[in-house]
Amino acid sequence: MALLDVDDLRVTFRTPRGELQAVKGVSFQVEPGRCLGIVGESGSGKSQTMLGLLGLLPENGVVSGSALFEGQELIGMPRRTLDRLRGDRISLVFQDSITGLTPHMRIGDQLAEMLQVHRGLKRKDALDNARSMLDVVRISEPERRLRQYPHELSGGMRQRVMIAMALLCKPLLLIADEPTTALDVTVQATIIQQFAKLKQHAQTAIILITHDLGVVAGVCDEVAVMYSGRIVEHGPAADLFAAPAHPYTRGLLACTPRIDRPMDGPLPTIPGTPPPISQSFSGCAFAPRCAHADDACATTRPHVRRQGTLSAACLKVPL
Amino acid sequence: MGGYILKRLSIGIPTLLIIVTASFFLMRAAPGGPFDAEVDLDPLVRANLEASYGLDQPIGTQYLRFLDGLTHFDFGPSTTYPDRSVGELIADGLPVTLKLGLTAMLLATIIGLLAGVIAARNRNGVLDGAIMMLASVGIAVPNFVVAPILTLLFGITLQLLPVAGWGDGSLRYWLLPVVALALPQIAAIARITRSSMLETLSADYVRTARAKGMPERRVLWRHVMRSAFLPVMSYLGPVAANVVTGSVIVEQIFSLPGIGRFFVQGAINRDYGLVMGIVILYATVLILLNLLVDIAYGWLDPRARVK
Repeated sequence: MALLDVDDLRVTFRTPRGELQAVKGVSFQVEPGRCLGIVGESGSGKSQTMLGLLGLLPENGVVSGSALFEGQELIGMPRRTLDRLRGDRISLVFQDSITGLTPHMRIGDQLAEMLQVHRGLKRKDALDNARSMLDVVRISEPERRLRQYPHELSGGMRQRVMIAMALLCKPLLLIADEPTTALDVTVQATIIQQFAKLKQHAQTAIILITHDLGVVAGVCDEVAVMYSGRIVEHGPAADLFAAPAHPYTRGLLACTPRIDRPMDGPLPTIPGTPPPISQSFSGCAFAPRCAHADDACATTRPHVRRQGTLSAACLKVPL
Repeated sequence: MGGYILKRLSIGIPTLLIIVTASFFLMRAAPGGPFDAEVDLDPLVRANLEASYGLDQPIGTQYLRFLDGLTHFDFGPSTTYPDRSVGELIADGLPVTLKLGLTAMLLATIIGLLAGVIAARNRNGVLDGAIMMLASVGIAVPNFVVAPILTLLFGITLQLLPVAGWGDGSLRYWLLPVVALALPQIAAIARITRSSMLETLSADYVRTARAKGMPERRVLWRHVMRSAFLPVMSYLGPVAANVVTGSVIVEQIFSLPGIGRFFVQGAINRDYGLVMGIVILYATVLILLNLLVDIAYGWLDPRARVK
């Protein structure tokens, strides 16, 4: 049984201008010790999927579908039960770590309270644990950091504090939303190594949300590509990078600068922009930007087709 | 920290001087004088009186004399109460005003916070609607309307509480004045608390706290309340100013023996010494309270701490 089994997850926002569907039926599984990368442009619904999963949507957000964690249904789970899972067995690293720490609490207290609440540790023991976790994420002078406030730390350091926080209770599932975007490349590499180690030694399952394909290639076993609230392509990372099936994935990969290939001319881009989430499609949401699209793409919802180990929601697959 | 307080206090002195100077000349610019009663005084008597209070001197000299008195906390004599000094009058009235003002501020802060938190927690619910409607009314209706209504209701119709006076200074005498003074402030604080709570609740770090599996009660107390209280804290300065001005009116309506009543009488009778003494007292209290608010702000928000 998969550690996390998400089936047809949908996230809708009720707004004064009507309902907006941010996530339109997403399904995936994560196994212990495996890493799933979720890739997509901003607004594709990656983050909303994870927030919906953990009951962290803003008040006007509604989530439906199913998400089984160790067989327990997360969607609609009462707050108290959810609180026992969140931070302890499932932890989350947020994208906006700069504002993600409570400004009036010391770093040490923000870390320690997790162990105090989830493990019933005494404050002193919790702080000891917190200090060694700061070491793990390569924060200098951990003893001093524990007594500092978030505003006294640099952005990169705050991000690492967030990562330390997420690792503190040794979660079974780690969901990381752009965890390394704010970090410089060397620290980024350390963190990615850390994730790889967790996966290998602690059998932690990881969901890595990012737009950085380099990071995905480094640590993910599987990749799901999201576009306009849906997963458009899904498969083993190696195969997906070697020979992507979906035109959108191909476009994304073409847009990534590579060090092993000569750069001639400007970096290619995918023409156009993703559709606003308020726009509904009877056909493929990518069709307006797709070089391969024809009349059928504009009217028929693409069903999932297989191409080797990959599955892609595109009428034109295999291309 | 000590240096900061000292610096702030030394900034307070020129502020005070400006207030004193402005009030001094404004008072003198007002038509009439302390001895313009309805009966016309004999010119000789008036000249004697004015000479005895130093009012026959040029205004510049009077001003310098007054400042000189201030340096040893002497506000001069009162022309309304010839046998008593301004200092004595203030010392008499201060306990009443202080009790009234501090209780009103405390009441306003506690009830305002409570109402604001309840409203925010029930956002757009019935309770929220009710509290915010009352708060709007509370802000719109001034003290001098609230006070007579309270008197009418509890003093005359229900006969529960005395309509005026200080009596023995027990609760039944100061309850209505305190409520009249606090109501508009409760309303304002409730509104500020509500909006600041709502803003804080949608902050990223509150989402982090929830993602960490912190129970809602802990999220509220440890992660939300302190930040949410900051705007309320900054508003306590203006609250103090409103309570001071409000107490002048409320003391008059309930005929309480506080300094607010002396202030009104002093202004009507052109009792220069009395008015100036009270102005200086009010200004000092407000300057100190604002300093206190700023110090407390730094304590609540580490980002605002002075190095």
